[in-house]
Amino acid sequence: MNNQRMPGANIDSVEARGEEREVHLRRLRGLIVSALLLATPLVAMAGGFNIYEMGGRATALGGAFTATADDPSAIFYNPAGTAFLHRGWEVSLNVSPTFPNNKFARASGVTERLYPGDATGETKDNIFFPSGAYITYRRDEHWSGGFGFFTPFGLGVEWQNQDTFSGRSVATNSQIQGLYFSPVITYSPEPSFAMSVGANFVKTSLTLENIATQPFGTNNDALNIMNVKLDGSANWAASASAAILWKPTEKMNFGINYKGGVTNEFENEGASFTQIMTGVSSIDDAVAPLVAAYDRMDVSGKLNFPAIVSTGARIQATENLALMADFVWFDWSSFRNVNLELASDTDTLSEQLREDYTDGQAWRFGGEYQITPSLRGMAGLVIDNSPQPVGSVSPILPDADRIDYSFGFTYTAEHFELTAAYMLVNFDERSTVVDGVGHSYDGFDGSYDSVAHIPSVGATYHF
Amino acid sequence: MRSFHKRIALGLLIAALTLAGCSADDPSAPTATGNVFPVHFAALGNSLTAGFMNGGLIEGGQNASFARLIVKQAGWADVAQPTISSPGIGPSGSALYVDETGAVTVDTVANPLALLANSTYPVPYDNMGVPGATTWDVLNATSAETSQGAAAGQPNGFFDMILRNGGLPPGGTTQFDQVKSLHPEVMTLWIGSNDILGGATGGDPVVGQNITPSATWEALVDAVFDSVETIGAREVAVANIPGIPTTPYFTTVPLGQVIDTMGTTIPWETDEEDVAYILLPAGSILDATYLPAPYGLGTASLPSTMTLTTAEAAAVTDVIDAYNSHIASEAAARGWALADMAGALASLGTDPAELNRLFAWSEAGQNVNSAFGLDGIHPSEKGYAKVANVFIEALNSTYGETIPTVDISSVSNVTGFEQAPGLGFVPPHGKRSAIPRFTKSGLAALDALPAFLGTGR
Repeated sequence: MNNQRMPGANIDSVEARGEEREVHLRRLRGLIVSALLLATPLVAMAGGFNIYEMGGRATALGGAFTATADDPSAIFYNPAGTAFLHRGWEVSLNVSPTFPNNKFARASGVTERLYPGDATGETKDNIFFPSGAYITYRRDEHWSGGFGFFTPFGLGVEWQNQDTFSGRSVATNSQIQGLYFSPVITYSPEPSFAMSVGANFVKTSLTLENIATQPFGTNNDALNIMNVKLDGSANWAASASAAILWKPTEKMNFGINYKGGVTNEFENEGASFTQIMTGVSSIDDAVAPLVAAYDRMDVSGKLNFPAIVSTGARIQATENLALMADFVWFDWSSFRNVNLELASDTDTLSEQLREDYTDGQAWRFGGEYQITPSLRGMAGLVIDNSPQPVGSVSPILPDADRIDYSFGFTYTAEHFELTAAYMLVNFDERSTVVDGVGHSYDGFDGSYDSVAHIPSVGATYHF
Repeated sequence: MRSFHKRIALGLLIAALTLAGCSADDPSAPTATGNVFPVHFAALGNSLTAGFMNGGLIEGGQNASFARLIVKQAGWADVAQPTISSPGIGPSGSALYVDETGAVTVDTVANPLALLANSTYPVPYDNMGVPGATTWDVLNATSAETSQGAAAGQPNGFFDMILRNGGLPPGGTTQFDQVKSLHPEVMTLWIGSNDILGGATGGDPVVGQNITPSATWEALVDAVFDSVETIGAREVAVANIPGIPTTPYFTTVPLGQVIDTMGTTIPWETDEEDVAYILLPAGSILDATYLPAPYGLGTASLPSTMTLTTAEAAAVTDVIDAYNSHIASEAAARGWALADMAGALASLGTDPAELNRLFAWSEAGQNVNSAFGLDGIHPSEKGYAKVANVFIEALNSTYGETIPTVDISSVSNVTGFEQAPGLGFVPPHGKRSAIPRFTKSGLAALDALPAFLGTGR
């Protein structure tokens, strides 16, 4: 990973010593850069942490909403649904406060020696607020449209006890947020069919932090030598979207929703380095000039959000009971490499990181029961397969297969509709150790278990 | 009915809020014997690990060390080495030069420690090869004064230089301590040659006196092996001891002078009977005075320190065989890869003209195709490439690695002695000019080698 030269055997006293110093610097620089680069897959995994909870009602239904899309969150779940909303304007505000919790247990054996520190780790009790805000307008029986703001990619993993967490040299804090602004227009040639096209304008920001360490002493210690922080905001990115909603009979709906993938380009964003004094002068003296030299390094790179294709069906099983099933596919296999370039004074430290994601799929099932004319009860089940290969499971983002359970209630009044929902995201325990051998690309092996609680609320008003 | 629904709703809400306080289950820690992506390599040993070449330690030779070659071939993180700047450190802390006539001279280096270019490297070097280190030293020497040689009045200054206990807290650490602190995933161990070499290069090997008896040595090396196991490296390759009397240091100088076209050879006068090998330094002093009359003057005789008798050579070889037998059984018992350096050396053949075999010493001073450097003991660039390949093949076969071997034909021997300072020696062909002219007369400069090579013996 580091770019050391293999100098020729030509010996010149002055040059040789100068070069040696350079090698020394490069080696440490390589270390820092490695630390930084190791932090990158985190970004990649944001997809593994795709957020599908962009509307209260959809969340209650386990996200099986592609063939339903009967409130303004349709702009996310299926924009063709705007053709079937109330005439005139509808506004909907949704927020899904997310309480994630990740735990880690480091593998015993070689990992202990490579990554000294706490044998277990847990993330801080942070709350994130994935949100969806939508406004729609239905002009007549043919034309409708709207505008949405939602956050389908992003989350955060911030570990506790960062000074001693054994994975601190990989990541201590990883945050990503993708904001989508999405106008759509929908045409309905006949009452049972609508199609929609639109665009997504995406603004993404990310923060990656870790602590560079140096092994030290004979007691399997590692000293923290500097904080490394990558902080950046990508250029605006854009993609297209398209959707269809078809209601062949009164009791049956089918929907397809496509949202194009985007490439977020980070140009000359900042990596910053802050020295941590170890009290060991030989180390501190070696680190200080590096920190000074790389006080702020420009970082450029690309981060893809994958395309999403969801297909769904809804069947009105009885007068009061409707059942839904969706299949959602993510184009994660396009996510093979992350290119990251660090600008420095003398050499190019460009790296291409192997990701090797597979396509991601989720099966989403929902049921909705009309309890009273104004009250509906809903429940959902999600079977979500992680696109992340075992090698890149890390403290940056420890993804795993998951099963989600959800339920909620929607109360409908004359102009209002209120939804309260809850979703439990239950990850499988996942280990990077397979048959006794670690597979972490970082050599940081262990097991992870995660859970997330997502209470969700949504309010819709039409006028 | 409505209130019933409300109650359900309230109950579910409370359940939800309760659940929201729950965290993930504690994952159970797996056991990993290693990782498929090794990240850190370290080498523990003596001059053969350090990249000692041509009678000295200097950056050009160190860059050819097998440790550096292995990580390059494997794509692992590069190894930090204690880089020695020009003019390098030769016998007794001196420098070796070649002058404008091609003769090798020894010059004093005022402060050898100052030649360590990366002395402030903040952690131990990954290449923890200390020239002159004995098996005892690995677990005990923390400085020149605590090295095994110090007891015999020959403290090994390389310990001060490479261990840097003065500047590398907490201080007081050994070669082993420093390697352990690096937490290598893959490591090599090659130790034991210096428990024999000094006796052999001194010309009068006596087991128990200047050669460590095998029973004593087995206890020493078992302690090293046990300690290395505590490092917990996923892969360990241990090398055995290559033959000593078969190196060019012993085979280069012929036993006598050919006096006619029939190939009749008249042996040099020697103090010892039944001489099997004449040591390399003798090459620079042998002349007509060492040939018996009427072929020469017959007025001088090689001392016993310049010759090995058949019995002496056999004693040395017996000890090597005993060491190697022990290394083989311990490597097998501990599941380590065995790098058979003795076998590799033997496979080079015995014909002095053979490619890659011998100190390809000529009046032109070319050493291009030899597996050995100019000191006759240590490998050349090509030789270290061969050594790296033996390690690589051992790692591949024992641990299922797929490290490609070095293409030895692409490796050139380019490091030699430097030109003497002040000569205005203008290199005519860039790097190739680093090959010095090297003549017989220069071999006198290597007289200091035996004492140095056999530190403290």
